[in-house]
Amino acid sequence: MNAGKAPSASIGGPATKPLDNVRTILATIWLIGTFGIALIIILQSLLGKYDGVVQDVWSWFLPTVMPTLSMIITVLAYTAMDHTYQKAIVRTDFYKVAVSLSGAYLFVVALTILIQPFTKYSPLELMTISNLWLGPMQSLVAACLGILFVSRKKQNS
Amino acid sequence: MNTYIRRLLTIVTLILSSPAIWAQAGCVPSPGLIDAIGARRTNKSSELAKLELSKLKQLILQDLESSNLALRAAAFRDLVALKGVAVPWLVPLLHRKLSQLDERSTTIYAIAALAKIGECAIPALDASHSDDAAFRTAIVAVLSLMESQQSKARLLTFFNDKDEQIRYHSTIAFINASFVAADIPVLLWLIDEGGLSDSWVKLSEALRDYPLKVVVARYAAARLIELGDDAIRPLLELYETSALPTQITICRLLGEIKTPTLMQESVLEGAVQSESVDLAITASRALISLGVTTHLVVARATQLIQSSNPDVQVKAASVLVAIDSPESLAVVSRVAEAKLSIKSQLWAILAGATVTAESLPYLLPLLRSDDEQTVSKLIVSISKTGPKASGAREDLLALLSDRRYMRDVMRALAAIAPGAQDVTTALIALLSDRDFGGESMKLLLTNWRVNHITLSTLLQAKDRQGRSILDSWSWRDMSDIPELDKFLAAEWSSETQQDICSLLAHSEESFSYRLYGRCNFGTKTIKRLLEVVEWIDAKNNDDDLDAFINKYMASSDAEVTRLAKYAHLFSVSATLDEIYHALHDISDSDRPGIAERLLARKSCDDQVLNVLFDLVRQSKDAYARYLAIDLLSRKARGCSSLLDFLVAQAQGEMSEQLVDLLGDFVPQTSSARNALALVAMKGDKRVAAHAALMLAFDVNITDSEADRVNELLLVDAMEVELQGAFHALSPLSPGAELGNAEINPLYANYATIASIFAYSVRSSQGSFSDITGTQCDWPPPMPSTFSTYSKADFHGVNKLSDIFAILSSGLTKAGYLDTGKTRCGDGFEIITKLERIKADGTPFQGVNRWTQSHIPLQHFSVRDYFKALFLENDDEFRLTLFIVNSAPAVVPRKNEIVNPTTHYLDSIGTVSEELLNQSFKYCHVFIYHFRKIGRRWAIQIPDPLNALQHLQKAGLNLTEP
Repeated sequence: MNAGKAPSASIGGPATKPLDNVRTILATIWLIGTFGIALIIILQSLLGKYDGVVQDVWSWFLPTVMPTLSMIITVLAYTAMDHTYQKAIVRTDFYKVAVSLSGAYLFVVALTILIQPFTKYSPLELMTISNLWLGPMQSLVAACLGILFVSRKKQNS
Repeated sequence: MNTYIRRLLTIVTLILSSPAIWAQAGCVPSPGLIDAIGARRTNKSSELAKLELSKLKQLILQDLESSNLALRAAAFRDLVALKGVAVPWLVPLLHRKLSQLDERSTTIYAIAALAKIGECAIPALDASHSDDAAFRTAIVAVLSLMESQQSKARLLTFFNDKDEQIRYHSTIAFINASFVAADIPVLLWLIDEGGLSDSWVKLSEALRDYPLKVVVARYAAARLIELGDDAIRPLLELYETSALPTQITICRLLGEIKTPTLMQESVLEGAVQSESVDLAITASRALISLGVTTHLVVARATQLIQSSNPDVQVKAASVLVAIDSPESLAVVSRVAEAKLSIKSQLWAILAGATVTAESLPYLLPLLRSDDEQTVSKLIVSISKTGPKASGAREDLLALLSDRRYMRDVMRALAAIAPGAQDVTTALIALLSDRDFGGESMKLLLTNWRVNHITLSTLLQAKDRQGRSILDSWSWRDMSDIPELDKFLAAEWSSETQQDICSLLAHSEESFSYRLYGRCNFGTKTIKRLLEVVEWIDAKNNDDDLDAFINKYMASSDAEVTRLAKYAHLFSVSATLDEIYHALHDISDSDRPGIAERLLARKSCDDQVLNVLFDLVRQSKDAYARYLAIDLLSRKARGCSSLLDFLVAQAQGEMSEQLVDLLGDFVPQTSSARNALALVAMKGDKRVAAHAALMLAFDVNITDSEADRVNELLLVDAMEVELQGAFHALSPLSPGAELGNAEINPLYANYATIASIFAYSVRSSQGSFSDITGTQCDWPPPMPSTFSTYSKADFHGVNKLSDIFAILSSGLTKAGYLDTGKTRCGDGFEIITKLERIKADGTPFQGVNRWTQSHIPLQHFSVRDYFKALFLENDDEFRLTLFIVNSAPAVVPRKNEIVNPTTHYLDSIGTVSEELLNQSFKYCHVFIYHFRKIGRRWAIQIPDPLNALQHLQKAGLNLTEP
């Protein structure tokens, strides 16, 4: 019950946010984004848009989001067992970078699906091509989130 | 660049399509060849001869019906050379002569000639509508001899013949032919008689009461499995479109083809989850047979064994036991204990499980079963497992008192606990048992290293319990026991030793001979021992046997010496010279049989072949000679030097039987043919005539050889011919093989005599393109759907030019302006350009119809966008191929897929006016329906639309007047 609000900035240092709060916000972004995109693909699969290539489409989508999402959920689940509030903090600048990268990445993933009717490519062709930019972006996002979700640094007392 | 390549292709195609060039390679012989044949027949120069074809036909057929074999052979060669020209002469001749029984040999020549002409003759062999059963039988014989894809396709039309015998012969001829993956649907149908499409259902009905269907199915399955890896893909394709019984058959076959692939596993795993119990069980067994046991199989079998249906439970148990894991055995064991009604059945299945330390606890209760077979089976399994099954020792000792299992239990105990004190005690207690004492003795000797004292005790027992103990021992099983040797070498009283030796003398095993040296046998026993030497199956050098024989080679008893010398010939150390000289002293009729045994252990080398060859040459008795040649052919089977040997012998003296043997090689190698020609030119007149008979029908014969052959055949021609027929094999006669005595006598005659011609007939294999001089892809690759139209479907269409005009104008009206046209067999093919279609088969309009990339949304509206985002799928394409020729049925190549983007370009050519003047028979429509998946093309098999629907949606209503 002592998981009260931690100070948003320490006096004389850069602005910070508690790590647990950052993790919760990022997890929310990823869950909403992934669920939204997955919903579109599920509808497309059910309505016959991907007849004959359903498996190929999901083979593209799942590796695009699942590694990061799995990491987020695993860490959240692990810390859910922790009865104490973590004292680790994150600089607000880095927090903003992480949130922006995550949002941009999920937006580009969604764009690959939503823009297809206007292109000369078939869905699967477009997905194959999108790997060219999604791959590097995913590595940046993973690096960013990896630090936030796997490493920890305690607040200076 | 593309335009340039297309132009180049067109020019090359035009050049290659030139009738003048193709006339030489196609069905129509060049005018020069016809003139040359005419000149030879009239003994005039080519210029003067210039015979009309009708005159030439008269001359050749006259000779073919002549009683002079030389003239008939020459006529046969000319007919084969004339190919397509001769076909219209031969078919009516065959039809006419079949009704004249005394003209049988002419029909045989006609059959052989048509078969030799090959696929050029196929269009004319449309006998399926003939009322004459003999004619239809003869056509089946011709098609059987051809062994090509086309002939096999034509054989199918006889599967639903109204005459059962013809159905039988055509089916047997079909399954005896060589197969490729494209034939799989037919083989599959033969296996389960299931229906794959309407036509197969009809065929199935025709054969419903087929008396030999089981045999046919077995043969067909064997042939299909022989195809191995090539069969997997077509089977998987068929699986998706087949009915349940066929799916079960396919699963079973997939398990038999022991090369697991990912696709194969994936299909079988899908079948495991099927609602059909039979399909799930068959697929599970197939996966286990492939060595792929997944959790799906375990889960499904575990689910099924909980069923309320006992049959299903038993089937599931068999799968779980085959999985062979302790967990699966535990499940079966639990169900067996819980459900008494099927307990014995489940225990019988469990007894087949592999015994391991882990599985043993679930299997031991089976030893209490009332079913003798179950108990014995388990004991044998335990025995094979060895010390790892030592946990079963106490249960087995308890079972040792049961005489039903005593021998097996003893062996199992010896295997799982060698040297254990309690087992030793139990086995020693059994030594005095009349029935099992020998086995006990053997086990003790092999597993317990029984000491001298134990054996001594045993032998002394004879004084107490009589000779029965020794007499009952199974000496035959004691072949490799070193202890026995030591035992016999021990100091025994002479009386005891004599007892042991007399027992040994009853054995005919070679191991005994190493012991005989220590025995003091009488003459009678020694003679007996020498006599049985020739029946000993000694595989290696046996010094003890040689020593024993040598000991008596110089005996004072002449009979013993003779027997020893004879026995020596059967030892491995006997030389070929010794065998060869000894064979001279043996009577003519016994010689081949003895030679076979004498040479049994000799490798196949020139020396052995020489011995056999002399045997053939020297045997005066006809039956002995027959046996000798049979021996030579069997001994030399797989012996690579036989051909060299025969070719070398052809320089010297040959017998008729050796000529026969040489004839077997003719289709494979030219050296055999040349050797045969040499024999015909130089050999003894009778032997030469025999060789000449084989050469007479060889179309490659030279002029000088032909003269000599003609000269030889004039002497005793009929006798030579009949002799040849008598000795010929009958590859087309399945009766003997299948044990069916009721073979159509007419067919049997054809099969027997026609096989004479197999030497020349089977050596030629041609492809359709060789004959037609066309570049069409024949047979076409497997389509999504297809349909065949005949003359009756088109009103007022008689010639190919009529149907060509209908197709061309219909295609133009429907918007197909670019089409590929080329010659195909005795007709032509037209192929459309790849077009984009909607799901219902309607083509797109305008340029979108011909583009292969995705069509972007032209104007934005929310409705259109959501429709395009969620619903639209415009990646479907279609190629339409029309093949018009005289082939009534086409068996597509199922293991190949048409290339959607280049196939159209491959068919750019011309169709000559001359070709279009021929009569129209059949029009085959092949629809290739593709999906574009990324950059890949996937053909839609099966297609949701049929060929007629595709044509209607494309605006091609061809059959409407």
